[in-house]
Amino acid sequence: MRELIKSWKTVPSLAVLAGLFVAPLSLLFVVSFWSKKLFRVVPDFVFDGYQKALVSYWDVGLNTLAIAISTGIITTTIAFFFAFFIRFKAGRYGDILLFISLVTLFGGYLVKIYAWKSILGLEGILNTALIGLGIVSEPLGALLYNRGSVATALTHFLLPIAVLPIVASMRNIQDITLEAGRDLGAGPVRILLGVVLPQCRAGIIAAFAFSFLIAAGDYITPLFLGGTDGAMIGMFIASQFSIRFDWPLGSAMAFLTMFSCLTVVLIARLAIVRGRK
Amino acid sequence: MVNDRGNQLNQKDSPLVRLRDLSKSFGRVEAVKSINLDIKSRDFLAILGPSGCGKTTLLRLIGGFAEPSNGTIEIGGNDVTRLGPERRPTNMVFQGYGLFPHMTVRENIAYGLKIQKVSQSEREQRVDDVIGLVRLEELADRGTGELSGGQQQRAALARAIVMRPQVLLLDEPLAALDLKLRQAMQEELRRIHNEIGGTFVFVTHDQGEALALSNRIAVMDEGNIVQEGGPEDIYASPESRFVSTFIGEANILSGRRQNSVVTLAAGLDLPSSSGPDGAVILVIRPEAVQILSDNSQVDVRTEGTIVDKVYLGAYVRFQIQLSSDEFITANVPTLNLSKEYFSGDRIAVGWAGKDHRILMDS
Repeated sequence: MRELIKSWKTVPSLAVLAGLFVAPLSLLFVVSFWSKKLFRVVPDFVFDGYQKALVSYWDVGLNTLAIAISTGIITTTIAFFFAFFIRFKAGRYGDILLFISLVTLFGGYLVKIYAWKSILGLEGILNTALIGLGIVSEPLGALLYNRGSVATALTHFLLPIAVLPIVASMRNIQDITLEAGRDLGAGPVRILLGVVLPQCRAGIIAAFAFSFLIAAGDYITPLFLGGTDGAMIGMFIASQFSIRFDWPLGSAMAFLTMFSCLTVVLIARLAIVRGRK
Repeated sequence: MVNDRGNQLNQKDSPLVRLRDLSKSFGRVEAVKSINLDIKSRDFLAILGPSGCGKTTLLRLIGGFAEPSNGTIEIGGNDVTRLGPERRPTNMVFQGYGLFPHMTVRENIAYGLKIQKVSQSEREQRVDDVIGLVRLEELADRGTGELSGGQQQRAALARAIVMRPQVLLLDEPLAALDLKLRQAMQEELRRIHNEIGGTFVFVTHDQGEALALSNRIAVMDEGNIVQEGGPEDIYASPESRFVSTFIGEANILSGRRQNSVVTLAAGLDLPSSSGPDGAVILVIRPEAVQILSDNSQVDVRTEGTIVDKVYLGAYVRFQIQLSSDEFITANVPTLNLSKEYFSGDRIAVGWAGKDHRILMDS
């Protein structure tokens, strides 16, 4: 009886989960097998959406994964060092640093995109500086509208989100394990990779998953900074729903993206956990 | 007691560790004040003092975990003052153990040897040896989280010993263990020190532990080493009020010295060895105080009233109020009591003149 009452208490949260997460996903999953007749979407059980998605969008899909994986790796790496500094080097200023890095999240993400646009653009800060210093004679067009500019802006935006879980898991590391490492002859690099990193694997996995998944699903940054080179799948999925009204194709693309992303996260997790030896 | 281990043997050796004018300040707080100390090879040295006396800071200076504000540290004839712990011939057993939670016991112990690139066969041999030495054979392949406090302690000890440090540093090694385990680990430490014969320096606030384990004790107070010597010397000849009350129990009676005669507030005149005139204290251990029958001959004799009496099995503990209203504690072996005494009895107490010490009152 008690068990029953206890389990009843989970009903509200389960209802929220079901209403906001499971239902829309199931709906999309069903729709992904429907077919599109002229301007109407009719219930059906065909694989047209998946076929079209794989044939027409595989290259954008791979591009998306490439950008998101590199964003995830770069963000997590920088976040690891930043978190290490906050936890072990900054002393009482650590919390202030963490707070400041989180405050940048409130700066809004369009602002950051425009900031990078004005930094990397043809008449942007970087080009002006390079010309002013006489390093180049003409503005470099290659700075903007490519994978690199997208990954840069995404890294900037995602960094605080990645720092947080790593700092949290580093808080559980005892300072004396670092001292013990030094005592046994380990230099700074060995301490970092052999003592600190293995003790905050959970945080690193979370940081990579967050930054990779958010990057992979982003469709605003590539729109403004990506050009043709830096196009990402999210832009095309969005347009299937908003402009082209091809819900089956959009849903199929969404599911393919989701499964590839989950695969990447699982592989990354395995790689980090296996890294033990 | 225990300090027949090599004390004489070491006298002629030059010191292994030499601390000169060593000091360390944190901001305005001087944790360690200009310490000079020699540690000989094979010493089992206790740095003993109350919490906050700077003893852990001193140990961390020797280990290289803190940089001295002033002074030098030499180990084996080399100046290591500016070297980090990874480049010193010392290894530390940390108070919180500091075992790596992501490794098994064996991996923890092998870690330092791997860094030194000791060949695999030698590494395995040495790791197995110390695992046997600290008796962790059964648990060697477990994670450190599965160990009890005492087992973690032994794993941490093994991890340091396997490096064969010239000086093994132990920071309050037994503080976190319960009484029984602490006594067992004391014996383990003594046995291990005998077996591997290294130089051990350990920090403790427990005077019993210091007396039981070490062959030399450095007593610290407020950043200074106030006395240093063998356990018997320190116990029998404390040089200050602090040392006499911190190590063992002591009765302190106040008095004055004038023209080489000490007059106690309790109304006694003692012909004293020479010393400057002024306020002095007389230090006498409770076990040296006797309750006198009328005819006994002792050097120092006075009268008092028993205010409290506690039977403790092997001996009876009396609190005696003297004429100066000072109290004196006497631990009298039960077998030596010729008759029964009660609270309120007027009695004569006394002790042999060689048993007390007269110190300037600082």
